[in-house]
Amino acid sequence: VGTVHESLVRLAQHAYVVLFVWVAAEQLGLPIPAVPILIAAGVLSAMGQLTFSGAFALGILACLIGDSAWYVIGKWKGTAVLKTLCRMSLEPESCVRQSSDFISRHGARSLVVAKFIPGISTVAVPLAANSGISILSFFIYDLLGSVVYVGAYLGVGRLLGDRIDKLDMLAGSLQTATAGLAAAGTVAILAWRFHQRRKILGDLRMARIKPEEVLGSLDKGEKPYIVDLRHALDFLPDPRVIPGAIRMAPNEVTARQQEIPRDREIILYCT
Amino acid sequence: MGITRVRPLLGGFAEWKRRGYPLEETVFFGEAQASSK
Repeated sequence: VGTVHESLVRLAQHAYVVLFVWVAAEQLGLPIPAVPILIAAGVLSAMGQLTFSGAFALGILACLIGDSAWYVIGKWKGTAVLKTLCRMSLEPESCVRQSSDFISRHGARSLVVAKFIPGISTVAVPLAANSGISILSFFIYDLLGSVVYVGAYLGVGRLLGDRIDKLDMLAGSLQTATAGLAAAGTVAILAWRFHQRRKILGDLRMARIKPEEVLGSLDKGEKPYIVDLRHALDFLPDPRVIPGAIRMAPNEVTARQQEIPRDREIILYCT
Repeated sequence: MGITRVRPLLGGFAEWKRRGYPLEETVFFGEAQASSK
């Protein structure tokens, strides 16, 4: 009994380390989803292998460490790091623009829910830092966001664990089953992200037009309908456009679709 | 009738500018901007 107890204690200690490192790594931008690990930790807390409060505190601490690092980098390097961060986390680069709009609409409050929104979660903190949010606002809203994020998934795991606990036949292999499910969930999310990213990049590569083709088309007197989709912040430093291009903010495209001719080739460009 | 074809420009504005291809100035109308022809 002593040996079994010792093993469980060792495993529980190990689980705390795994939870902390995993959540911190996700928050630092690595493409390893922490949701399955948080749910697994919740399940283990129901079985008494972890304390809920310990897992909760460690999860929040890991979030705050990862986010603080990106707050500092966002302040220091500006938006230059965002594309790298998107690539690193296997999120599409379009997440930068979506996140930028989201943060300009909701300010520091966006940090409370950002962790739940794919694409936005990755770049929300450096973008918020770059948008001038004070360190106090960042800390308060990021703490709230971390509490909600970690608490929600740990809570789901805890509820699941409470139900599984009642099934005696599963209880014996619960740790193995939980670890297996967490690993399978992580692999599935990673595979899905990787597949989506490859698909988006593949589609874009096939559809893109080369600059020399556009220049040739203009030289020949053809009149492709060229749309400059640069964000106002990117446009103002160099307010020139490709000859004949019209300016349209990405969020205006739907409202102004009547202006877009149906019988001409449409060429879009951004930064 | 649907739109014939939509294609993003490879490399975007930055690549066009880097190659020294022609650009034209724009004029501003408050929030909205239009290209000067």
